[in-house]
Amino acid sequence: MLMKFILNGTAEIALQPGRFKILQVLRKSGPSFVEQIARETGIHPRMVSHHIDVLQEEKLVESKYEIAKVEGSKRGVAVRTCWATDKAEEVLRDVRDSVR
Amino acid sequence: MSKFSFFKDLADFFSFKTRRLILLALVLSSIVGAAYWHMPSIARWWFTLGYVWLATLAIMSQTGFFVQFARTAVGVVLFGGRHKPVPLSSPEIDALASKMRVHGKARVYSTSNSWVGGPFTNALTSRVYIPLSWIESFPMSEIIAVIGHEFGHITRRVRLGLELAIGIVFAYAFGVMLLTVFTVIPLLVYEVGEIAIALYVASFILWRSEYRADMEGAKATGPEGLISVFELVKKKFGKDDGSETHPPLSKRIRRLEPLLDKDDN
Repeated sequence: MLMKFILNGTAEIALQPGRFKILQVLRKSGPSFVEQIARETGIHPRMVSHHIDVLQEEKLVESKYEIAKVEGSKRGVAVRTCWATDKAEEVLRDVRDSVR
Repeated sequence: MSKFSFFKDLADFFSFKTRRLILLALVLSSIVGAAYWHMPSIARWWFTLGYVWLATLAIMSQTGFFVQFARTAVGVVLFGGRHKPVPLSSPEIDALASKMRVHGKARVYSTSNSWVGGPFTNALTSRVYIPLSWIESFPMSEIIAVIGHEFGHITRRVRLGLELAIGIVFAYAFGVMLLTVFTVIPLLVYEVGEIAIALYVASFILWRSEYRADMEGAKATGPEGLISVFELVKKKFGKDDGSETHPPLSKRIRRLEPLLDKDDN
């Protein structure tokens, strides 16, 4: 099991600096909107969306579009809510173990 | 590989900025050398000593980079047969080629040749090579962005060839100008000055070509993929100095970032 993700390249994809920051935020804060992640990480929202797409392809993150009330808007707007999967936890644990 | 580590150490010892400064000093000294026969004999002696020292330093600083460059080129040619490139095709690549108007002209290959460290384009044959290691470690959307960058080189190849030719003619003219002024030391100053200015100008043109290919690719695929690839490569290599052929990745990222705020890509 150990190093499984490192060998198949998933860890490398997760270790891209922007994606790693996003995974850390999702682990810490739980399900978040793209805009929230962008604010917390300082990464441009378009880059966050791109990274979420990539992480979702690798099944490290899941996301869904929903209508939500956000600050500054009277009506509900479509937002993309994202959350880290169990696989993301495994990959990050795998990376930590390989560093030790 | 270890026999090349000396050259790698040499390339790492002189940062790109230092290498460029040495070349600039060499070009400027060549101009100062125009007054060689008007200098007092002691100044002439010191000039010759200083110039030879500077030329030696320039050769040393450039050798590391060029040996590494030549090593890759030789490795690709010699071991190309053993690692036959495999055509890489997908609907996304075809769509990108059509969008960038290189469909039917450019061909994309993946290669497992370990001498190929990164993606590159053979501008003469319009073939784009992507190392297998890259395909395995980057998501497809980012590989498409990299291919977009390489296609950018193909769309601009005539312009790049023209610019390089003008640069080299300019360097030659500089050398001829020096030759008309000098007579004896001249041969050294002429040759070294010409080579130094040619390297300087070629580097400037190649940097511009990379920036343009980035822009062309980013306009076709969006800047996100390229920015993401550059960030990962920058992190992997640790240093971000740039080279004679490629600008520093942080500068390339900075130039792509404004595209993130535009709606049309």
